[in-house]
Amino acid sequence: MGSGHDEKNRKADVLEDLGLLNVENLQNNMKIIYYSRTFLSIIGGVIAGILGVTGVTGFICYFLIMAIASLGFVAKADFSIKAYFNSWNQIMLDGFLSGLMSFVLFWTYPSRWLYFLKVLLIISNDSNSWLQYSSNDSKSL
Amino acid sequence: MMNLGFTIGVLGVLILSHAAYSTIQYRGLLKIVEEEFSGPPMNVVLELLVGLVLCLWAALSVPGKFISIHPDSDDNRIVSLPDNLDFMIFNHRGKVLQPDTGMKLKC
Repeated sequence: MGSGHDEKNRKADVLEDLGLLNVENLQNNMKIIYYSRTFLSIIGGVIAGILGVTGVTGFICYFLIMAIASLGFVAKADFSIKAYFNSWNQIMLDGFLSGLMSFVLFWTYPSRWLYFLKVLLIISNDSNSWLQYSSNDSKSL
Repeated sequence: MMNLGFTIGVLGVLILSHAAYSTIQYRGLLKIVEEEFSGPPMNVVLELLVGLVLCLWAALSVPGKFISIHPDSDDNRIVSLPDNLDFMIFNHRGKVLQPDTGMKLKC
């Protein structure tokens, strides 16, 4: 039993040294990481936008969210990264820059959406007076 | 599992939308009393945190499960033979790495 186990371990070591791995499954795992990071950077951008964070603090916010995401991936991989990924970089760094672009987009756009929604709110609240103004205008014309 | 994660994600996005709406109204109020915006009120911050946690859950559960990349793992067992058996060649350098067939058949 013990020798069999050793044999299995040795075999696994040899396979690992040769760099044999299932590339299809690796790509599947990488795809999952990309999806998660993109979604989380969008959500992080929205949160930073609502909080009204500006400047360097916003980028610190992004790094924080990505660190939390990396921790989540490690937990999702049952803390045995070697079984699912080639190296630590793949779980920690991949999809970092593309996520940054989405983050900045959604970080700066909510303030414009908020402005747009505010205008809508004002119009809907003051719709009566607005109609009055317009009717007054037409009268004066 | 997948469906549950998706529902939780939708819930998180809804909570974030509500937080955004509250922030708009808060900013409108600040404009009326002519004060500077330094940050949303406490309940909105709590809402944001809850939304973030829900979305984190969704982001980790919805895209799918990690699959092992080790050639010897249970995820990579061959459960059906391919159709092109006639074209298979076994006389190549892979002979050196003969798989541990006994181990695989045990499961």
